[in-house]
Amino acid sequence: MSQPSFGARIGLAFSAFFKILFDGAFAGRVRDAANGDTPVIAPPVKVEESRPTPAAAPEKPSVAPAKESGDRSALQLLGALQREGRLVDFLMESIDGAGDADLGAAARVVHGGCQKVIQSYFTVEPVWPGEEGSAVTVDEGFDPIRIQLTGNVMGEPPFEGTLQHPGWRVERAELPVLGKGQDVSVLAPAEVEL
Amino acid sequence: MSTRKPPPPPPVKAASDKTPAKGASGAKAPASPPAPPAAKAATEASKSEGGRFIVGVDLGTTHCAMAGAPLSDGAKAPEVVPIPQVVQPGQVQAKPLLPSFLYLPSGHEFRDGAFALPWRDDLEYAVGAYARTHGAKVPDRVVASAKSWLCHDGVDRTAGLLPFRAPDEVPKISPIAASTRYLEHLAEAWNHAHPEAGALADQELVLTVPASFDAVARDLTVQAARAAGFNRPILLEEPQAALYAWLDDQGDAWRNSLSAGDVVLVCDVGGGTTDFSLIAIDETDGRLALRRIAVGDHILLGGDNMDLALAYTVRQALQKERDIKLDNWQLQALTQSCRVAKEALLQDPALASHPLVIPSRGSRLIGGTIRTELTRAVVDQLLVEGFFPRCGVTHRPRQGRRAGLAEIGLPYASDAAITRHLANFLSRHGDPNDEERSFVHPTAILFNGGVLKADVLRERVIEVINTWVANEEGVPVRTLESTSLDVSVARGAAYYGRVRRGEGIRIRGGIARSYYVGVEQAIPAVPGFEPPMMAVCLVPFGMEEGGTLDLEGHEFGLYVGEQSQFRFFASSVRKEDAAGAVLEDWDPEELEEMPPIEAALDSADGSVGQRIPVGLRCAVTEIGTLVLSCVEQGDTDRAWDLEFNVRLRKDEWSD
Repeated sequence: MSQPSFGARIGLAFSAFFKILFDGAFAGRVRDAANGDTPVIAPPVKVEESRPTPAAAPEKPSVAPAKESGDRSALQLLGALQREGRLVDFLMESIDGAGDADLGAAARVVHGGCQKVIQSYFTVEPVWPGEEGSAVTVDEGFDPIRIQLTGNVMGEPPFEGTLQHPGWRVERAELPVLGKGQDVSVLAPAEVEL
Repeated sequence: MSTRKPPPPPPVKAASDKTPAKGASGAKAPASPPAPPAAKAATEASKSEGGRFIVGVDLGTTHCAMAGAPLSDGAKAPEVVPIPQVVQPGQVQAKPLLPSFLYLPSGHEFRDGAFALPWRDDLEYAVGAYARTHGAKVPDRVVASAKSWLCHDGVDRTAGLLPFRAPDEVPKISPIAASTRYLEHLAEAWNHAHPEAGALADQELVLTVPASFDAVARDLTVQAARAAGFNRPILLEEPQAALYAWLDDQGDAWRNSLSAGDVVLVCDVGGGTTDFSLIAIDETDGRLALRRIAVGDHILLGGDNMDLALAYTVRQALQKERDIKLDNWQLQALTQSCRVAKEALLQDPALASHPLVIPSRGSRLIGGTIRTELTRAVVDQLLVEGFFPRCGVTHRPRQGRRAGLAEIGLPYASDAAITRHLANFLSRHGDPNDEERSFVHPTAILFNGGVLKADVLRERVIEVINTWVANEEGVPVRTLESTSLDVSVARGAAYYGRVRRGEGIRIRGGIARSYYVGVEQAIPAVPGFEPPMMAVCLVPFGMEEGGTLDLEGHEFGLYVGEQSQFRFFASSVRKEDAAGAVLEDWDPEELEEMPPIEAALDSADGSVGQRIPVGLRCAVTEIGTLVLSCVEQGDTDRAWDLEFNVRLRKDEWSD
């Protein structure tokens, strides 16, 4: 199995993050994989070699459609984040030496576009709608998936504490329906203007 | 014309069993078979509650929307129906609005099935969100603003002319066919979402059109709907639909907001068009009644013009101040960015500026992204002062240059000032409460259309009207609060379906124009001069649906086997002319020439050349279209429908 580049791994990590968050079955498979049972991400399929091209011309991409790898909806989401918010462009580029003004301008593109995708595909709400820093009481029988206790975790509930982060949970997840045979491993097609 | 099957007109009153109204036409057939069985069956089905929903469709210039309400539960508010559409090749998402864009791809562009929909997997074109976004990158293959072309009498609206001026390789379609495809998409979306209710074709369908659509544009809209399989589309004017949506929201409480003597101005500024209507509240026998008393002209001006105005201004500033040249792709991105910034600035008066970013086209986002900003000063100057300037009620929109050799593109408004168009509209009609006033004083205003979500724009319109009214010592206008300015037309259309069944209050008004037929004056011939033309009123303003009128006192001689043609005129301001009224002279501003109307008299017995004396008859159908026919004088009861000749361009029929 070939190893993805560091940059590719950032994208992968991002898509996997959402997929684990929103897809219980997938999350289960990840857990199993972490325990060494089955690989989550299928090994990358070998892409057909490009035909040799004249030295001056840039290498043409393979004409044959690339085969799919990975989970379809994770790739679909990543494709949308790239399309609308240029997320993969942003993450694949080195930011060493970039000025904050340029970074800020790029971040606005990413923020605006990715926000649009998240709002269109999901309804995301705080787990504990409350002011950060406010005093809260965690009652007995709380759901440890929804509420994580930190600091001095001693004794029996109810616990008195401070809300550090209200959390996020997804109320609705609706990705566009994918047609049969759609190759979602292409996050952004190469664009050629005629 | 010969390949399409025009709509079967509903029977006219006089056309009883022995003289059924003519079914198909355009072709040369005498009056014959009644409406086809399908239409008849649907009529009967809806009578027997077989159609279980009333569905309202807003076929917009830039977006379509659809709302449905069950017939069985009169209390249930119409609900917006989400419309699945291709958002990316091979990806389908349901959205409340369907962008009115059609993409016609090259054979090489996409894999098979890229435009598959849940109900059909072999589509070779895309309608909706993807058609719009991708069409921006490939402008020669996208059809946009089909609705505006539908009411453009400078072109042959039945001919394949869209995408406009695209190269020959692109298969072109007519404005009617494009509208048909949007309606087909909506129908399929409905059928997919409501398999239990039966096909949309069998539901009661209310289709909205701009109030400014004349008889020809309405006719073409119905043709598009029938081609899409709707048996019996009922037409409703969009501003009326917006008011119906408001009435639906208010319930019985509307009587607290409106009373006898009120005149409601509906001000509808959509993505591509601006539409005005006036609706008066009367009292008869102690009951309040709503009557639409005036409609405006078709103004091709809307929110899209505003976004473009901002983008062009920013582009110019970038070039001048920073020597940055944007290509077309970047201009698209800038227009999007301007839309977002515009909405933010209009919504929050505290903001001084909003950032604009134009991403690089290549993959290098950092360093390649152009950042600038949209300032409040630009928005105020361009949008508020440019589109909604303070002006006097006597001001008129600037007229564009009408060059004979001008391109036959869409007739966009040459003056962007919506307030001047409004001044013109209000001044052209008499105030129902006081004839001394120089313009109609609206007492209440209902806003519609996405643009008018912005408080500052609504406030400006109100301020301007109040200034005009105050100069004539009138009363300030009240605002009727509306919700959901984007989809209220579709909701109101569904509500109207119920109104037609006797639930709720109906806006009366009948036909929004008076129509005239041109008749040569009978005077001694003068060599070298055409005999002067007079206009005889055939259809009076406000003639109600279901009514039929015969033109008295004018007989025409038509010849069997020949195509007979009449000149035809319309007026939205001459409301007093009764049927048969004769105008020997008129102000060209008052009467607009329409495509000629034609009848082809064919005779089954082959009596070619025979002269037949005929009278003219008009009927306003239940669905809101106009049917004109020639009726043989005497006892024969033969009748021939008159058709609008929309294949001609305006410059081919008018002087």
